[in-house]
Amino acid sequence: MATPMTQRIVIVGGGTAGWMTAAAFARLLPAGMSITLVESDNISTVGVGEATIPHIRYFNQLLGIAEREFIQATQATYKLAIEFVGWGDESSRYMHPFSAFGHDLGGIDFHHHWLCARAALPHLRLDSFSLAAQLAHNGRFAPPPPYADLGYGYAFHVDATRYAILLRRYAEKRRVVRCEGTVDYAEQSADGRLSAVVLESGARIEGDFFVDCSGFRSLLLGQAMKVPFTSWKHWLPCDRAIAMASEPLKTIPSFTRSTATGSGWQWRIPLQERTGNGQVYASDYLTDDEAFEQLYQALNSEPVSEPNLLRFEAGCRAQSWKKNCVAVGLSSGFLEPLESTSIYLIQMAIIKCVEYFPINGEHSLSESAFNQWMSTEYHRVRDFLILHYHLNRRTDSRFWQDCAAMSIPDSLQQKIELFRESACIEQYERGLFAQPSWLAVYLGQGLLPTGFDSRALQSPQAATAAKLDSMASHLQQLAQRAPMHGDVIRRGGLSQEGPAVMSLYGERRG
Amino acid sequence: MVNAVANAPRPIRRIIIVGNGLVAAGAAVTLATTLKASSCELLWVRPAALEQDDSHGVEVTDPAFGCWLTMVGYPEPELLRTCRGIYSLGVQYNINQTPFFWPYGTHGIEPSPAPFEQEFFRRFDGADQLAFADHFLAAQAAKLGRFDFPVDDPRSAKSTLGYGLHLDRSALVEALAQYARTLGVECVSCDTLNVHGGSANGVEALDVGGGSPLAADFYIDATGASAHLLRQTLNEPYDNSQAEPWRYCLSYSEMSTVTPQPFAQMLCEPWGWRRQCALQDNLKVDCWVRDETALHTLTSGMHTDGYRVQGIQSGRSRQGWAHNCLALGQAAGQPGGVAFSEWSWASRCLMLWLELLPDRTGRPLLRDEYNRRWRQLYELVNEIHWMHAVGFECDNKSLPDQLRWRLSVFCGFGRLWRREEDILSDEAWIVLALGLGWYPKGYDLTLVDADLDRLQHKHNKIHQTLVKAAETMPTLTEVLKNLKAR
Repeated sequence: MATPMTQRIVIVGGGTAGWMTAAAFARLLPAGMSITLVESDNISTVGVGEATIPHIRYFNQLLGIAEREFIQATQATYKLAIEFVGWGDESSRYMHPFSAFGHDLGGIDFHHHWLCARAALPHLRLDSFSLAAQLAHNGRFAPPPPYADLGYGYAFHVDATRYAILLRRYAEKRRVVRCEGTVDYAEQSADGRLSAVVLESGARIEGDFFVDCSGFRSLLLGQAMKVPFTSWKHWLPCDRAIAMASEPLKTIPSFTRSTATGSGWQWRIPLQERTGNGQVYASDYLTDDEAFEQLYQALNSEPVSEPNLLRFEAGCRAQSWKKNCVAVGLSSGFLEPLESTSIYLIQMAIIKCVEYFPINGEHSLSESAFNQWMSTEYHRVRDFLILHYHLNRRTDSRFWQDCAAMSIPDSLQQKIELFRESACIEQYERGLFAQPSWLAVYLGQGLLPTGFDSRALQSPQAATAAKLDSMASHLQQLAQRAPMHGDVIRRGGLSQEGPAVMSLYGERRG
Repeated sequence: MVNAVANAPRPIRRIIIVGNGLVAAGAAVTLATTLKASSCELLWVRPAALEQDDSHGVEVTDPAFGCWLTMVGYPEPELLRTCRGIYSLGVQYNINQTPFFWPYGTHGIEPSPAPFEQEFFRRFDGADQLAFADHFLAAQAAKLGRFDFPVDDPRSAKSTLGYGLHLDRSALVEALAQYARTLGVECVSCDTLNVHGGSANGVEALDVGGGSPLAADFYIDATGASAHLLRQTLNEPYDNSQAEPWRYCLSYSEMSTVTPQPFAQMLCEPWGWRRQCALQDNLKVDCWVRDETALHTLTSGMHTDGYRVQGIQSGRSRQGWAHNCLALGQAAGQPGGVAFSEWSWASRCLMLWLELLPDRTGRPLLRDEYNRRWRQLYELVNEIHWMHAVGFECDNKSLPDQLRWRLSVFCGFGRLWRREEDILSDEAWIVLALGLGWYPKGYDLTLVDADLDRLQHKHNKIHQTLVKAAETMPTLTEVLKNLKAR
């Protein structure tokens, strides 16, 4: 029964990562540990994660934050999917929903039957077999039904700044002390561990364990502990984004939209009181002015904020935990918001940090376990993001042609070739994106396999097609009976929230 | 109708299974059931000269076997009668007078918010943490010699039960062989077997003496350690494990006068492990023996010479599936049999192959994917085998790296480091690790401020509930009597 010796925890940086960490630590760590968060009102936060994925529900439930309270506080709307427009060829359009597609027939994965019968069903698409996608298409929202084969997860579009404020309120009520100030430098003891942060005011805050939530600057892990940054820019070439809010949409969609443009892509995130818009692009291919112009032209409603330019580089630190310093969020790594993974990666880092919290001041095992875990998470998300770029079939710009021609990580190349050969999706358990997600992008962006499971041929194609047609009709009917998303939001959200799971697809993994 | 993809799959039309033991029989039944709708023809070649280890002794199955029986449609009660089998709730271990019960099934306690086992890591140090293993209904029922079937009602304690079987293996082979024939598997017994083919083109045909050679689209090598197809014909390289905790397995039967109990027993002996498994009318004993000296010590003290000894050499082929040949069981590799039988290992591999199922075109990348996942499976089975060796046959340093890492995370934080394709449930892994002597120093931090008296009270209450539930269950003897009457 060893007791953790670490008594004084110092979190550097507020924002989404900092306050998520503070709130979770206040809830999960022993009462004897003090938690101090240092942040400066003079440093603006990036405010990552306007679009989230279903895991955030688990996080909120862990903290005991009710969904309705959360929706009201963050001006949230529900999210069931991401719609990708123009990512295959310029006219392509597909949903990546928080659900699997269809259900197994005769023990054979649904997509083999779909590949077998799809020529006979030209009016249907893969996302015709996802209730979540159907709800999103119809502008509706309902909680997942209790039967597992139709299940799905759901998430939110949130005002990340408001989320941080909500969490700050939560954390400060539970022993977290906020310290206003800008960190000047960090002090280290002879063995290389951090011992204190010194503020520009001269104030010195000592700690036993430090969490770096300082964003891209990575004040502690990067600057003080000298952990190098590994760039993935050669695979994820976008390095800038312009964000701009506009008036709320008249009909609030229950999905995020990602639209490929000439040299990058645009997001559209519907909130209750505004719409988040952004243009992500590669500065080697597009100037800031051009990017702004593209974004401005594409707005669906009147702008309500000034454009905000962000510079970044995809990649991650060689390790996220070193000695008594752990980095959470952007200070640990950055992957562009294409699949809304920022808050998820923060959340996983917090959960794993608590799980492997050092016992008796000994950090080496914690460090190894945490770094292994987070490295897998980052690499697997990375590969999935690269897939979107690499599989494009656009011919309208050098940017997309270069993405299609670039060499990609071996781990990803193998996955693609396996699917191309056999319609088989490489299986792994650890990591965010499972079979349904890979399937959505493979087929959505036009990668048609040359073969599929021969058992799908056991039934006559016409019979399979009839079965699938009926399955899709059933989902469509269910979707049309669900309430409009806007009405659910106006009522303050669902009256009852079901238990959340750490899965993208609700109770079903794939 | 137009096919959706350019190259429609070309289903496998004919598979030949080669082997004479349980792995071959089980594979024949599995393939006959799962490929029935594909009209795939199955031929089972049984070379008489092939003396295989998997056709003797006792088959100790876990709950996965019950799922398999359901899948292939074989009535479990009938199999129990045919194989003089009994039901089992788990394995009773005894190490230096310290017993623990490794249950099938779960404890069924929801995290609140920490997982249930963490409460024991919080309350106790060292071996006392094994109190966790007492909080399974299976453990309490086993103590009383009682057995019942799981119920599909989460409010009932009996919903946490899972069970396996002890079956006479030679009877099991014959029962499955007969069943395979009723499923349409053609069976050919032969005195000689020559396999044609090579590493360049795969298996081409089998010559079974007389008549024309037998050919198929795909071959299953279930010929045991001799691996006639995969290694002898296709020359697939085999990597021996550098260390092997037990060099011999000695097996024998003895008449039993005591009432069969619903569990297997694993006893730690000075020479290795002794496993005793009751059937309805006798006791089957398997001994994993460290070395020749230990074997001599063991055999010299035995009153019978009616025992079989087989050498053990762990290791595996580089690939379990090469060309048009899938090797199963020992023909593919020997990950160690202390906790899992050869059929248990083979059936997992076969299910994996069926999940991926190639067609006649070969699908080399699908094969690579199988072999990648197959190697993970091998490592996982091998790890459980090695867990039984530490402290007795070797120290921590001799363990496979991945296992050593998992155990260090477990001991450091009380956390599981789950791996892809894990074969044990979290609870089963934790009980086994605790029972074999790994005790966590850490626990879930939400429990640091927990009231220990309240935790103790909670655990006592659960324990009492389980004891009461166990007392209402029938004895194994009664359950078996009903089985005979049905």
